[in-house]
Amino acid sequence: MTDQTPSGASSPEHLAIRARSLTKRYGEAVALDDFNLDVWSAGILTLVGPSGCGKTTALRVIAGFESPEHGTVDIRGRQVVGPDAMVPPERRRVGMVFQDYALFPHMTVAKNVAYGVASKTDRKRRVHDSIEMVGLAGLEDRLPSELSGGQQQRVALARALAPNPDVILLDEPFSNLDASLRERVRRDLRDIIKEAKATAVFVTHDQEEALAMSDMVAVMRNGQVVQAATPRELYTAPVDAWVAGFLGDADFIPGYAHQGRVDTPVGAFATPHEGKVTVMLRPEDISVIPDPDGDAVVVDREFFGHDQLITVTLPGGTVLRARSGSGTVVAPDQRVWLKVGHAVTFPA
Amino acid sequence: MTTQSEVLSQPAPAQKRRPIARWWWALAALGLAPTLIPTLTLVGAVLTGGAVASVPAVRLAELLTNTLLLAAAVTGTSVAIGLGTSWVTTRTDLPGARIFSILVTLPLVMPSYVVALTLLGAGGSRGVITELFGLVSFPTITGFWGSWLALTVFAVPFVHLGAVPAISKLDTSLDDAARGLGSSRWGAFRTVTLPLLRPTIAASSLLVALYTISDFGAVSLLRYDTFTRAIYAQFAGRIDRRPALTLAVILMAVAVAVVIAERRLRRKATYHRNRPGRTQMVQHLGPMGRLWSYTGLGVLITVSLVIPVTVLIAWVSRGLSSGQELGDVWIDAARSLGVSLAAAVAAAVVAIPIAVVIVRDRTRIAPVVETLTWTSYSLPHITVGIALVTFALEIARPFYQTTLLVVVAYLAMFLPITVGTASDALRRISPDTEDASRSLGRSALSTVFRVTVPLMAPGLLAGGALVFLTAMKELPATLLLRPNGFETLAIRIWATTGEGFYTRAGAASLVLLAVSAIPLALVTLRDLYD
Amino acid sequence: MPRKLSMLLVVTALVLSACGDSGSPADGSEEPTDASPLVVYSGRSEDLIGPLLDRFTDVTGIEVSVRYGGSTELATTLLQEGESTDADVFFAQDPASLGATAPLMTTLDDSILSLVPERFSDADGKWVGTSGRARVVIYDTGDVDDDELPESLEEIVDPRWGGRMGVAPTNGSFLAFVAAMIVEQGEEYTLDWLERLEANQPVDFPGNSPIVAAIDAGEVDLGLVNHYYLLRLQAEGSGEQTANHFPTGGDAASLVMPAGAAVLAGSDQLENAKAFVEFLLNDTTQEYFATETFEFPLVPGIEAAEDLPEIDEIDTPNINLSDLADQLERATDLVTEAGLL
Repeated sequence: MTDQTPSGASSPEHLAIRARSLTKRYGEAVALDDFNLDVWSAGILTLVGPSGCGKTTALRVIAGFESPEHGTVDIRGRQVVGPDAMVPPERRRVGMVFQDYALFPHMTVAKNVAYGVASKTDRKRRVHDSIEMVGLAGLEDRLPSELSGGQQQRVALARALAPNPDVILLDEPFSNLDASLRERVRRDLRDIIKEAKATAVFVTHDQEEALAMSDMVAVMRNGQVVQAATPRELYTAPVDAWVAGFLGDADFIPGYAHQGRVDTPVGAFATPHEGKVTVMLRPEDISVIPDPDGDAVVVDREFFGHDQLITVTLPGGTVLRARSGSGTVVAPDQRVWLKVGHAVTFPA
Repeated sequence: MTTQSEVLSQPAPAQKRRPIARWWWALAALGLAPTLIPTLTLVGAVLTGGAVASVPAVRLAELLTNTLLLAAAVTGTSVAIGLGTSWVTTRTDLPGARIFSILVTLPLVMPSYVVALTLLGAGGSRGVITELFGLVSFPTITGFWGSWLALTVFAVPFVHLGAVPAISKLDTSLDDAARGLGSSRWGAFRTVTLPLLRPTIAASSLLVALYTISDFGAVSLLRYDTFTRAIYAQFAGRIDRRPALTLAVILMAVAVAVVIAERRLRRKATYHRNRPGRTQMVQHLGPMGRLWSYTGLGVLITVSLVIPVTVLIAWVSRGLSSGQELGDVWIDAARSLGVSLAAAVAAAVVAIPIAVVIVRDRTRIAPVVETLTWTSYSLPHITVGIALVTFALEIARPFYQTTLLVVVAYLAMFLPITVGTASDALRRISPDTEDASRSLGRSALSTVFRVTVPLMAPGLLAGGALVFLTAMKELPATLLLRPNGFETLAIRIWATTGEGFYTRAGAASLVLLAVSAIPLALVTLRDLYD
Repeated sequence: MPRKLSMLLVVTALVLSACGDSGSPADGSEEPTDASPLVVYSGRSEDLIGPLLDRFTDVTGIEVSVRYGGSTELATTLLQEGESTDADVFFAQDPASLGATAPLMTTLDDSILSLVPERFSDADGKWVGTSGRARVVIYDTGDVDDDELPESLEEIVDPRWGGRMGVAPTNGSFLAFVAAMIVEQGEEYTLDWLERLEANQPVDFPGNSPIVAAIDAGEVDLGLVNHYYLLRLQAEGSGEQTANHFPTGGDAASLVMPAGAAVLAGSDQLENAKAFVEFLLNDTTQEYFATETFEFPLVPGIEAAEDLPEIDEIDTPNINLSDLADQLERATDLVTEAGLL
């Protein structure tokens, strides 16, 4: 990856985390393989990828719980992993929220939060502020076992924020929550982090979560970052078909590009490539226009209320999905025209 | 990355383990030293002095079979009963559960030979039961069944004490989940709860099985021929110790084989971590459930506590009424208390680094460390005593016949008890908890004291209590290693029963019971249940 | 949780202070510091010997520190400790243990040896007998008639006792009895006798007391033990239906063996050690053996307990007790070979 930053600027002082060429093996299995990542200050970056892609390992290397065989990590311009440096976790100024929260079961909420605050003078205030910030005021003297899952997670966040770390790392923080709770907790968490002006790195396997919550998303596969960009850029301009497919629904049709154009059964598109290409179409970029003279035929329709997913076949046998508002009324076997708003081409 | 199959669909923590710090290894090695001294001395003595075969191989095979049969029977029964008692006393609303828990645990304080003696004294045509209740002839149970009974009485409290903390920390929502998926109550217990308890069960099974292998007092009094009897016979009948030591090394090899076999069977210990949102429901018992629970506990406590104590009291009163004197058992009690407490604290402290190595380390040496902790435990105590006498006389003369050496012997023999409970406790602590402390700015050492040790505390306390109680009644090694004139309660019991003075034996046993019961009750009440 | 921690700390502190107290009792911290106490290794138990030692200190002013244990075990310990032992006196239950340690012992003065009939002491004067113990057949008076009681080795292995006889083959006194049989009748006879005993399926016990208790409880009909166990049981108020029988055949079944004492040659207080041995042979102590431990006093003129025969009436075989030690290992071999161990 040559360019992982939203703008062209890459002066290290503005970087909260800068990881270069990290490699880590567990026996035969490769967890990190030339892993590179830049995390900008005061933003939320999410590492997303299928399970086993090495995202948790990357987080643990940054936190200092694992040491890589090769590569460097700088946090706020200070090298913490490198040929001459292996700073222990306790001196990295990194806050961590674990998947199972890892609260100290023998300490109250207040003691959990106070644990990492070194300065005695303003410990009380910092603990109070952190607990307040996560909305748990009044529960200071409870034990973790007396809290709900969502509350435990807030304690974990407050505990990580209280020492005012340079960066906080969150490993699948929502995976232990009920689906009904997740969305709200996610939004709250995002607000809290933004309010604290903290730099955060999330790890998740849920691409929707990643896109919804982050300023930047880094997609990982086989121990590497395949693409890092803003959610919009990532979604609309994935670097390859795999990233495109991982981030959302997409259909792919083959084509041949010549002089910056590729012709497909649904129209012609501009392309920077030449020769055989794959054209990616997202269902939401396709509109369906009912017309008895249309060349496409509706084969299936799933109605969701807020929208619907319409499956159609084209004369050549190509099958495409289109997402359209619930206003469009179609039925199977009906003839339609397709109108494509946006398409991305990759060399085949 | 997380491809291992787990009982729970939780990420495999083994994958998250990082190599542990070197100083853990150094501390563990230091803690292991007392255990290795007797083992190495013994093997060294046999290697340099030459192995001397004195008992025909056929006879040895027969004795070994007897020993293993007894170990299997005692382990099976005590695990079944102990799981039942710990479940009923922690997970149900049975009135008086805590009192029952203490009563179930109390027999632990009786030496197995005292249990055996009281079993013998209870039965028979002129036994205490006959005398008290006027039954014509209550049979005396000896041989295999008698030994099985006496050692099970000893072993049930062991399993119970080990299982109570584990069961009380179990997440009942898992059990509920299984039942919601259509399992019967028993099915849920078998498929969910039991596998979760596997590390606990494995640890207590080993403790019980290897204790049975090493026991001499009960089996000899109840006349069941085991391997230890051959060892003692060779000690008693010869000035030359090599034949006995040769047999001891054979027995040690058998014990190591048992440890390895157990590990194969156990495979990977299941981790149950502090899951968020964990719930613990108490099961309501209906009238029938209560009736059955009370009946079961009643029978158990009658056999393991009421009968032995009745027999002891009968002996004391019988003797007192014919003018016998009790002697100064209180001084002996103070001595027993001192060395046993020292051993208990030492074993708890030493267990911390060893448990960390066993549970947290990923290298192949960790299982070796675990096996090594068992070697001295499985030896008949007299051989540990002799090995330490030899060691002290030849290498550490200033420590010969000091209480320090007695404590070292207890530490050597009983270390696996605390290592077992400590590693069990540690397995319940997610390594993430320690990592969290590190990333919050605490050093590895500070993390140990602020997080690891406090969270292991219930396990350390339970293990320490078990060591204390086991040390209180230890006889053969104490006899060999103590300073001149240093008499303990166990020695008094031995000295008096051997010569036929049952009054004083009864009195000393009752004092042993009383003195041990206090710390036991404290531990059971204050820590296992909150 | 801090409560638990503080509790643990308190316990640790208590224990450490307890250890501090008992850390150096090896040198007898309870004793006055001006003289080191006389160290006695006693193969005889505290309940039997403790009162005697107290009286010894009262009478002589010599402080005593005792190590109790099994006689064989203490003999082995003495051999292992060798020159570096702290022991001054060895007081043992049986001639075999005394014989095994004889090389470490000083020769006792004639004034001591002459107090006891020659046959109850070491021929070389390395140890002196202090009290006598006779082998008997103990029996349940309800199950065995007086006229069928065995009088000799041969009658003991009579098939009529099949499954009814209690023995303690691992016990020191049984092994000494077998050693005596070897000395008197040879290995071949002894092995044959042991095999016949084993063929009778005797009930194995770990010691003499359990045999006596089992007979008292009605479990077995008769047993081979030393004479005094029954008297002790009866002193505690039990054993009404149990009796001792002294075989009259004059073979090893009628053996009388002494317990004895010896003085370590390396002792740094030989005079006190000898005073202790003399004390064991004075009239008061000999009477104590008769009335409290129910053994036979060995000093002529002191009466044995009621109900016991005169020691001279027992037809004990005429063997040299010093030979017993040499035969102890062989006795264990033969008992093992016969399948009793």
